[in-house]
Amino acid sequence: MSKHFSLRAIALPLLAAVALMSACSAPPPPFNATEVPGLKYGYGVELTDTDDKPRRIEDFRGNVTVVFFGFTRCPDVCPTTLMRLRQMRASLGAAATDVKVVLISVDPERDTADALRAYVKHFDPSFIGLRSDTKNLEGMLRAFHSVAVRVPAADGSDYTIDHSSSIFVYDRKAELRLLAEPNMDMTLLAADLRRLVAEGK
Amino acid sequence: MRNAFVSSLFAAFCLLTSVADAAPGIALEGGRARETAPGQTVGAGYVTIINATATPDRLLRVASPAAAEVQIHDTSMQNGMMQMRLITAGLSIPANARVELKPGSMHLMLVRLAKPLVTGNSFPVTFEFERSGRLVTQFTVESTGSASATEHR
Repeated sequence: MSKHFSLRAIALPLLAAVALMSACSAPPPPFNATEVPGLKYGYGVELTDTDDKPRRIEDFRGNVTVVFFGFTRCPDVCPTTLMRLRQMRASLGAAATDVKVVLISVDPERDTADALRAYVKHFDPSFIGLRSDTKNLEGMLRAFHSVAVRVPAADGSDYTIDHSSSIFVYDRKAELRLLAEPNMDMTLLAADLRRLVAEGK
Repeated sequence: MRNAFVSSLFAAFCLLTSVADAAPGIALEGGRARETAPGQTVGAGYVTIINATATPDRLLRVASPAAAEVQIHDTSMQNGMMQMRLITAGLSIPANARVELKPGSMHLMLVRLAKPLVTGNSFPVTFEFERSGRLVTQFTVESTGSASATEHR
């Protein structure tokens, strides 16, 4: 085989690789949380806030909205998540104004508006508690592609609720953009939220 | 003479081991609870159980005047679900081990609180172990803003 031919054989893939690398450097670095392409999770579901005002997830347009599921009789992990989100939001400084934190109750039967308000505001007065109609819990969960299952206590006197653990982050267009887990490093989530806030209204 | 020496050595050994048996083999450290939101009827408590002996033990029951019932729970995040389970068969405490009850993991659930848990207050909690019997420790109520209250697995 000629020397000329082998040089070309090396040079062409090399050029192609350089072209690919410059193309790859163009898009922004990935988010720390899992990015999804602008999903309309939860759209059309009538929720009410703790002042009994109707709220829909798409009405949060303009804000970066952090949404997760929980219930007030959850003494351990829901408060832990709320506390971590408060610290995270506080670390955002001025950007925090445009970041809303929303807990959607998976126990609207026991989480009255009063109970839910007291619970979320205890952690941060800016936090928002939303409830679905008790008759529409299934429909609400379906719209958010989420799960909540009642687990009765051994003696049947009480129940706890297993529920989807994901934290949903909606961008300013009120589209679902990031999926995170509650034990995620909150400094990394804060960096993601800063980027979404910077995307502009 | 030699026999007497051996038997006294044996006696001393028995005395030593019996002393070790009589001493409580379990220690409780860092008992704390989370302040509750107004109207919240359940609370969470955390503690480290230290078994410095070579014998395993088992935590059978927990009680406190602060709540009608104290349950041992385990929180876990599995397959995208957040789950909380009551540990009914008691909590096994291995020999020479520290078992940590901490946020996002095993914890005590204080059910039907006698009154809201207020930061700075403290209350007694009684632990009943299979081998070591009853131990009482004070739980201090911590603000929901404190660092140890957010530690996550």
